[in-house]
Amino acid sequence: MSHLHIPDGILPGWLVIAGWLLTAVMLAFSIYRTRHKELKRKIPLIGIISALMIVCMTIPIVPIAYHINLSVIAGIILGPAVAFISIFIVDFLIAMFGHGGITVVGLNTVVVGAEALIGFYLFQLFMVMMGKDSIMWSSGLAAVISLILSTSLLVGIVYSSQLNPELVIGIEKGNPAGQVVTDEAPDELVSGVNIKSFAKTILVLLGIGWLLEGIITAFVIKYVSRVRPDLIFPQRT
Amino acid sequence: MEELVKVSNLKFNYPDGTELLFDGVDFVVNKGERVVILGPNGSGKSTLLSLLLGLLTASDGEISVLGINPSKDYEKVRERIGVLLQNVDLQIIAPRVSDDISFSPRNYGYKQEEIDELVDDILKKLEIEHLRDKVPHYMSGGEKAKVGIAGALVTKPELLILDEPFEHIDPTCRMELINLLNNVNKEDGTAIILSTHNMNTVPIIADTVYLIAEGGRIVGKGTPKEIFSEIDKLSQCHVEPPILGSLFSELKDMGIELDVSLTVKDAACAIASEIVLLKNQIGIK
Amino acid sequence: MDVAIIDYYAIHGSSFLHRATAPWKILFTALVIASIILTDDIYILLGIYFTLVSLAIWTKLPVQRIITIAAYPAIFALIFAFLIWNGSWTKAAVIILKALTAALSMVLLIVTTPYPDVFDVVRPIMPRIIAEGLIVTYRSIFILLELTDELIKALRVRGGISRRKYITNIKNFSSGIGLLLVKGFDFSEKFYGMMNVRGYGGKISGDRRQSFITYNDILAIVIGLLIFGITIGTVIKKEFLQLGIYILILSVIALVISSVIKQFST
Repeated sequence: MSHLHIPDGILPGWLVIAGWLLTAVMLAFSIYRTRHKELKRKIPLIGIISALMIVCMTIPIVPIAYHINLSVIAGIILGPAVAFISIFIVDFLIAMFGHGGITVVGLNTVVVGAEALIGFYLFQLFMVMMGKDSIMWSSGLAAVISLILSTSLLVGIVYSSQLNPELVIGIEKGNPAGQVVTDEAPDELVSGVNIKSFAKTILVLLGIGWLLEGIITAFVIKYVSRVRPDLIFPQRT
Repeated sequence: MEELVKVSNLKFNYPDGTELLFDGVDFVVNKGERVVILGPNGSGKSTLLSLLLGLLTASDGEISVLGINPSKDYEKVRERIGVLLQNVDLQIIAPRVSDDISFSPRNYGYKQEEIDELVDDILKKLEIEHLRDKVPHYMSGGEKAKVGIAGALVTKPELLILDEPFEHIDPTCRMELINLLNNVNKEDGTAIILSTHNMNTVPIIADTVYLIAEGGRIVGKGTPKEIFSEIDKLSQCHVEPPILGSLFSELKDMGIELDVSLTVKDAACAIASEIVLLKNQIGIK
Repeated sequence: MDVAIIDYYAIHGSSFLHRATAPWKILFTALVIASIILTDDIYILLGIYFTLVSLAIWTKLPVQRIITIAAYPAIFALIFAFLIWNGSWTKAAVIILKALTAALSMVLLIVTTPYPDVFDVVRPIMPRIIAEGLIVTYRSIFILLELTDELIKALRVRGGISRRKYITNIKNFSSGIGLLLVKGFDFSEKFYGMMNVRGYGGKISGDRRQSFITYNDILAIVIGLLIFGITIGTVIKKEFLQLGIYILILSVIALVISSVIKQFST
């Protein structure tokens, strides 16, 4: 669950725009990748997975704190391209509830979409390495690792929000953020985020969530593989 | 009589390997005819309808709907066919009633003025103008059924296919739907194929009844009177005969042979006439 | 995040905001969010928040419920504010207020505007697959919510969810999600079949009917422009920030008056 719950007006404009641009490019690529599939075949699939993700988000597994994402499951079952489209729809719809700012939908889609993408490829890799009987371990591990990586991306985004792009162009070595650093606290930007403590806190807070989501992903994929194996194993885009 | 649908010795294989074979009597539907399919659960009624709609592909046998093989060329004839499924939620696609009713004509390329006129007409005909801008998930089962049928009838189809349309709706709604279907059949000449478990509706909605046994075999074809007289065949197919059919069968076992009546009124008249005759015979005033 | 209740409010409401049309309400929301983004002044943000609460009162919907729905993102804003804490209470308050205010403006839009109306506005600017995907997602949510309800009931009555049996609960919960997924796929396959049978060729929804601007639309726009105008004024002319406290007082007065009027009218 690395969905950015950052409100509107906190992240700098350039970062928000970059998120939207990247999402637009990735959406265009995903739509292009799925062009061979009939529109009327894709749309119900996207609709039901997006709806399922939203419905699952309404079920907190730990009250207030955690809800499952299903992004890795979406990636494994739909393939990364269709999953990315689905994730954009979900992020757009939940932003209308005020669940994360509407302006950061672009960044959210990048982060959660990355989860689906990484989760899909890691799952394929683990299945090859550990064999088809390892479906639970493969999916669980894929979920945990992709969540760690997407959370790192989230930390990176927060770190980037402290950067001033104009200053970055003309920066000198040892002054990475274009802002003043002091000798006493070289890791800390004088007017910015202590990224190390931010990263540590968020990794601890979300660590429990990764584990839970990993376990749930493993059981869900196992269930689906027994009832509808065709959903897990065929080639997906 | 122009043949709209013909099914002969059609074979279908389910993914788990189970096989259905629609052999026995050929399944034929003529222009303007009202056909009801009866059969127990698992006999293949819904599967047959899905095959007619091109949603499933048969592995062998003959199937023709409006002159084409539906699994290959359904798109050529779909504008002439209206559908109402058992789970009407599956076919309500658009977010508002007016959008959903206009779904088919819009996608067939009708002009906007024509679409508006067709939608207005059908809303008026079904008396559901008040539902025009409603969203489906707040509607009752009966309202959804009406919206579904509106969507099916909007393009004035030649053939209407309904899968257990009377489930999940109350008796009043059921009668409204039956009257509507009969009107559409009478006024527009629309042929109707429907499957149902509701035996009491069959006499008022069917010209021809097909009886399907487990495994898909078509074991009976006839008018409702003819089929309901065959109590043994109905029992073999695990189809509960209508109450009136059972009544006349019991009377027959008691030695009172009366022509099977399909409605309560007819049954009352037939039984009353027989009582009067008996009274006269034994001289009772 | 109560999808069903929000949808219910949007469809069954009768306030001036409900009667205003979607494009103008979206514009109003955009103006409010732009104001939230542009300002870092705590008084202005509070003023906007109280103005929105007044509007929430005028929607004739359960205000507490709306505020609670819109307060959910504040939990995460609180966590975020804590994580980037640099000793400034004002900065932390600004982060939380931005979250609350932005969320309330979006929630106000969505509790007074049925989703299909919102989709009609954004459809022209989206690729077809996304526009149609939004509509089918909306339809599917309610079907899945019903399935989820039944599933949870079934799990409860059959002992699938028990206190303190955490591993069992997670296993059964996960199987439940697996079941929803499989049923969902079945549904989507049948849905696809029906789209085919009914002649789908790329247009699920009809074109939005053109409607003339109404007094309700004008009122929404005027309020939006007022909020935006005041905010942009304080951003351009820093001296106006001194008036922030007066703007806050005015918004509180408006809130009190709205509450009193509502009390007398019920």
